[in-house]
Amino acid sequence: MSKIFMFDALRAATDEEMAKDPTVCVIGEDVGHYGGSYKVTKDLHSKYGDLRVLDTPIAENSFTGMAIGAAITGLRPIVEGMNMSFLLLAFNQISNNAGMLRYTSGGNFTLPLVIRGPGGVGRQLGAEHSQRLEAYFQAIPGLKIVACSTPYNAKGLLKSAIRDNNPVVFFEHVLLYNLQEEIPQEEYFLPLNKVEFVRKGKDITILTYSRMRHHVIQALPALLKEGYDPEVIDLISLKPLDIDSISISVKKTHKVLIVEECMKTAGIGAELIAQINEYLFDELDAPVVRLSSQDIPTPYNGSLEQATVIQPSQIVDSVKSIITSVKAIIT
Amino acid sequence: MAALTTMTAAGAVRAAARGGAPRARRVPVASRSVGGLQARPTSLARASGKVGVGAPAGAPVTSAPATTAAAAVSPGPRFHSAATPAARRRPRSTPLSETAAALPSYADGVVTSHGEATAPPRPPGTPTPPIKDYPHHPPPRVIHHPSAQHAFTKFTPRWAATPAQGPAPLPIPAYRLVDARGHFVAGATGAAGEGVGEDNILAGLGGRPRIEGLFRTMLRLREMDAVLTSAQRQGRVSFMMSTAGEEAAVIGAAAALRPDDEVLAQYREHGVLLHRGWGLAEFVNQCVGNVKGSCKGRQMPIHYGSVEHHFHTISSTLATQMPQAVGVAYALKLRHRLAAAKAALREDNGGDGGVGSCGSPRGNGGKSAPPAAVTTAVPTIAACFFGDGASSEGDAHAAFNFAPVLGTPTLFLCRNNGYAISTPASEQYASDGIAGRGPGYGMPAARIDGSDLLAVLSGIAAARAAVATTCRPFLVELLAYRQNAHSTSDDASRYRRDGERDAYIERADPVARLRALLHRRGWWMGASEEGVWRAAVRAEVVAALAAAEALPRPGWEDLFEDVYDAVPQGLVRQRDELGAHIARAVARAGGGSSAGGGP
Repeated sequence: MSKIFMFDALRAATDEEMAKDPTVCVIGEDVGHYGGSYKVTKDLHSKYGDLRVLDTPIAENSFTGMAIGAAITGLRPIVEGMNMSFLLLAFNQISNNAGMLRYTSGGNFTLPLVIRGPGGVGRQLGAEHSQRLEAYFQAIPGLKIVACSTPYNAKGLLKSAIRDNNPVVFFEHVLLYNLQEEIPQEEYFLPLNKVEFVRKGKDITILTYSRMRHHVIQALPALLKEGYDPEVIDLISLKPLDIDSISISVKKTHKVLIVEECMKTAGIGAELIAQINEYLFDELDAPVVRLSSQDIPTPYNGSLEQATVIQPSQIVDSVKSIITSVKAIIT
Repeated sequence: MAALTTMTAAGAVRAAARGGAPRARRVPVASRSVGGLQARPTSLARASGKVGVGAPAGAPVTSAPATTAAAAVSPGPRFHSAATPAARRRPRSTPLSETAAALPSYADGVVTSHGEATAPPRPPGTPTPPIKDYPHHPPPRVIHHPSAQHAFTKFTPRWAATPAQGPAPLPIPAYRLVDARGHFVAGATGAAGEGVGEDNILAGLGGRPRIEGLFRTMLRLREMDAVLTSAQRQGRVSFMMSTAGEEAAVIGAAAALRPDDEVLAQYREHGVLLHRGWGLAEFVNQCVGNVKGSCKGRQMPIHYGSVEHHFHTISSTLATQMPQAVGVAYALKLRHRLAAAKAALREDNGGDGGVGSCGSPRGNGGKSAPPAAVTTAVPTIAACFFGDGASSEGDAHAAFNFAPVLGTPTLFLCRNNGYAISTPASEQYASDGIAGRGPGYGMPAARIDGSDLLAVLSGIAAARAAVATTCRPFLVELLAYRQNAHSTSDDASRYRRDGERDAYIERADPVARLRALLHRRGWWMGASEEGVWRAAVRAEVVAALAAAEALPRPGWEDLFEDVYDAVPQGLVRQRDELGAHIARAVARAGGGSSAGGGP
């Protein structure tokens, strides 16, 4: 086991896959000699050359389209978006082409493509750099979407994503790159379509992902002190949602709290609640509650910014209120 | 899947285990507060009896447990419960027949395909009302090719590619070897080393067998388009696009490329597939959308694709293929470099080549020097077709910039046919066409008279050779004229001047021009034989169409395949739901009298 930063874990995953498979390449802005804005591709260019770690001019639509063409022609490109917000410029290529070309070509063309980059609210980066776009991409058919949250799952998931033969959108978070964790030395892969059980419990199912996983973990001491026993699930796979694992948990706890960083309207929680309604309605003792950011652009001012992101204290309050209200009926 | 369907039973078991105490939402629909969005007490409070539910008389809360137990078994009746008061059921919407009658219909000649009201159809013989006059449009009798900003297109008998950088004389002259009457122009010089003069050039381009063969391919394309357009008017195919006027540009380009050069096209390049040997059956199967169609019925007609013929599946969004073509070229370059580096290492070490650096993108000494055995040249290139309208898209600029910066072997081929649906080229850009942009991006550019098959063959061969040997991009603009409408969905007479089309057909029809040349050389099959041959092609297409229509369409089970490499569980569920719905519909249709009603 060795302690490693998240950005380093992602770099290690990329490095290992590029070493094993010569068709894996990285395409993006400043990924080459600069090593990437978040150092995820540090020193890869000196190992693999400027052609396999390709610095491009600034045009997200262009290098995403380029990666699509390259993927069709036998490469396994990893596109790095400097910030996931900028990938909105590539939305046409991602939605109209990456998600569709296998289908509309009758299964004749395959796109083993990874599109990765940081999103989420950082430290006073302003609205345009604080976008949470997972839900925008979640609707696109043909894509797989994962959100990593720890160095351990980042490495395992990225390796799986690179080996997957479908286009995978891989969300990282700006504030998690310096997270440190011990990870195994030996090679390991994590499935792209399964949740991660952070904590087993029986009182309530808390569904979360990315940075909010850590806010839920920070809320745990207060909850445990008061005798609550939450089950915490990191969604990991945002498309497809691992409804089977979620249902195992909900059948046990009968209460669900969703803690997400995206905006409330049409966010990840909205889709979760729809699926829980369809498959798990009878298992619920209370309506599903979602804690999300408000439907506003993220402000720059520090305390205002903090007010738009769900804090651990809100999570504690919400858990207590749900459990208390359900207990009131049962007793 | 099984786990989910048994949940309701489990729910009932749990309710029973609680002593049958009603859960909050077991309260039937009728007893909820009527009127929608007013603030209502939580279901928890209601169930505990603390708050009245405002139920209409006759639907007492005490009936809840009984309904609960029944409802717990199957979710269906709960939502279509007979306890729902009639007042809450939504009134039936306006019947379709009433709304349909309110709309104007095509039969009146009032509504166009875009829904605007127009004047009723003119009686025959009435002159066309003039369309909007643009100050820079010359009168129709002068041949003004709408594709270049300047009033008259200049032609040149010598290949005149601009340098990648440095001064380029504007307007870039169009390379032309054969004039409208089928005679070689003075000073005609081959672009790819064929030499000077008619005999040398014809010999250098493959002589009679090749030129006559390409003439037949052009005729074949024209006939196939004509038959399929008629089929669209008859409702047998939903949508169709004609390539009339651009046969030489596309088929000539296809012939100048290698058969395994990757082609990314826009939508009017059927000629490439026809030249590469795609059968008529393939074309019509895709248009009809049957099981044997290349896309399994999932794409519109015309959106052809074939891995075997190195033709990427057409995507409707304009210009998205352009950055993709840069990516395809990049992949070809990278794979070639990797293979060459591996071979070189194997030679050096006598062992298996390792994976490593494969040269810099700029090809002439970047940060890491390429191994000695790696040459700049690549065996195959990526050729990207796009139209004059598509060149305005952001993706076009992006591709034009990326290709020369990254050094990818991309051959950009612009079919400037003068129109983007109704927008003439003079309203599409203010530059010297598309070729004039090449030096601005740092890549060489050239313009070719796309109605002249020989100029296309020679010029594109030269451009392709430059791309393949230098591993750098090249921009070619092919001047052509779109004789028919954009597609079967628009009417070109609404935006074209009277006489313009006829003038271009007279002077710039590629088939007529090539026929004149062949006739002069004695290589033409003659009018009657051509007529017979074309009728045979038409019959072949008609037969292929009939055969295609006889084949089955893909079944609904196929809907969920190929979204991913394997069907994920979520889609399996959706497929099963659809299957159940279809089975019910089939049973209802075949099952005689049942208490119909609901959806």
